[in-house]
Amino acid sequence: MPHDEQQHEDARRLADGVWWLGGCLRATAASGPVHYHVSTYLVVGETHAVLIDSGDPAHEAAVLRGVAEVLGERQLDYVLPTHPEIPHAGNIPALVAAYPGLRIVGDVRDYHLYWPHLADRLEPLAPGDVLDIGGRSIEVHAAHIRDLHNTLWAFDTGSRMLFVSDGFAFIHEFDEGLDDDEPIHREGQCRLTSRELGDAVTVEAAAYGAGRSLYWTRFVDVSAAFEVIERLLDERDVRLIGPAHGAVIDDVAQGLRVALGAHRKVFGESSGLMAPLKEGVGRGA
Amino acid sequence: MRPQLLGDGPDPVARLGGLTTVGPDVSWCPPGVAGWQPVSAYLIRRGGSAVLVDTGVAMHADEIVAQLRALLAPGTRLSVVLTRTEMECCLNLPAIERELAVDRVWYTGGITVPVTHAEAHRVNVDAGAFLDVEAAPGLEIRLHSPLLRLLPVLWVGDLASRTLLTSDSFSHLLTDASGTPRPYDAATLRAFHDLKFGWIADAVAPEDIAAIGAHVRELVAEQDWAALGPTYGAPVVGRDAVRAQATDLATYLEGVGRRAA
Repeated sequence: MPHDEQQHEDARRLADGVWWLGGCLRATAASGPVHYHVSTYLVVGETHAVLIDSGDPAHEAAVLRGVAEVLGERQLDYVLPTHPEIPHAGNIPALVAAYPGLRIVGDVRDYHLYWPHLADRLEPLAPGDVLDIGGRSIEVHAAHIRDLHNTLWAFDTGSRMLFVSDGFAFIHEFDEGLDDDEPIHREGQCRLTSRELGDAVTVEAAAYGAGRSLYWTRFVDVSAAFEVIERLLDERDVRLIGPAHGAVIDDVAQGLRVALGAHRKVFGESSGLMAPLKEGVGRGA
Repeated sequence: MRPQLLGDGPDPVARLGGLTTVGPDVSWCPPGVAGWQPVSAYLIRRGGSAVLVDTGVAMHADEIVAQLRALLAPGTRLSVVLTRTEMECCLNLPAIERELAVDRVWYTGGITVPVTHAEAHRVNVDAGAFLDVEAAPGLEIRLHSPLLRLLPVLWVGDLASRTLLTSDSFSHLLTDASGTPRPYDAATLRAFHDLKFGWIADAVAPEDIAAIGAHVRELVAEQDWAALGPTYGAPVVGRDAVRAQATDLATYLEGVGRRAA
């Protein structure tokens, strides 16, 4: 992990031509402040640059600074929102304002409803499509773990990094007292990789986030999806996994083991238990 | 487009927003289906208070702000309830806050909402449960947390007008270009719900799927709702239509469970 060189205040270099941008949202748990990543990744090719997810509007300034720090005078050519939710697509208008030539690529259905003035910038990409950015390509893949069905994953052939959106939301801390669904970490753990976090990465911690943020995985056995994911990791010789929410995974075998273990734990503890939820639970505020 | 009034009594719910074409460029529209649908926000008013449920899409932002200005008396205390934190629910918040004072924005799930000045208030309701809240001064609504969901979602019940706002469920009714609803078609209802809630067919335990169907039956088909208002899709209007379409959906979901078994 080449993190000792070419670092910027708002961007961490993960590999040649790949940068980790975005920020953390903050909350207060009983045990102290906690953070959760809302990440975006900048991939710089010889001819074009693409931002995978836009980041959250709360981090608009940091994302714009990070992109500018890395690209300098170069233009940002593409943004690929993995799906149309605020933390993944909310900065698109600000990015277009900063980079007037920007194209919005991916599953761009619905975006004409959200930003009608950007409709002429939309370029659909589907699983199997490839975006050539010069000397490397961004492959578009189906999202095997997702919330919205119009979610995509992406793979950078240069760094062999797989961008997995809401999948592999690699939590490394949890707090049962926190009334929140998101993968959290502690102050001082921002933008650390899974290897750097060491023993903090556990199935128990990952399960806390997986089951709460991806409700359906409580009731569906995702083992078959993970067989497909494992084949993808093998076939593409994936070296890094970049989730939007959680640490970058630089030990792919460990990441796969923990994520699958987390989903199995969630499913094992929840499947078949939806029924008794509604008896006598109405109440006033 | 003139606001459509839904439900009973002196304070019906007003449907705000406009129409859009639906087809291959809209993610919630099943393959092979095309036509028009409203994308909606709903205004509940009582005395000097009002609650806006969802905010519509940006292509209708000017229309929604104009409709709000026409419907809200000066000085009305306005709050917003987001049924989900997805784009079609929350993206007009900044435009609304630029024109009108919003006291509080209620939301569930999600990690961020585009609030400018209002207080963002996260609310958690256990799946299958409901919570009565005073969403604006003197205006109480019932927040249901349905088992039929993809992301955390609230269905908003206005007991005074007997109107249930169902977010991304009951989103199946198409219209023509003038907004006149096309006849109800049970196959289209199934197709819209299959697309949005495709995971249900993959659920392993039949009793989980049965619980979802039973909840739709108990919460909608067996209650006295005069109208259903989805975020997208034409409202279901009239007690007989509500009962029939909710029964169709519950029966279908229960059938998914039987097939899974």
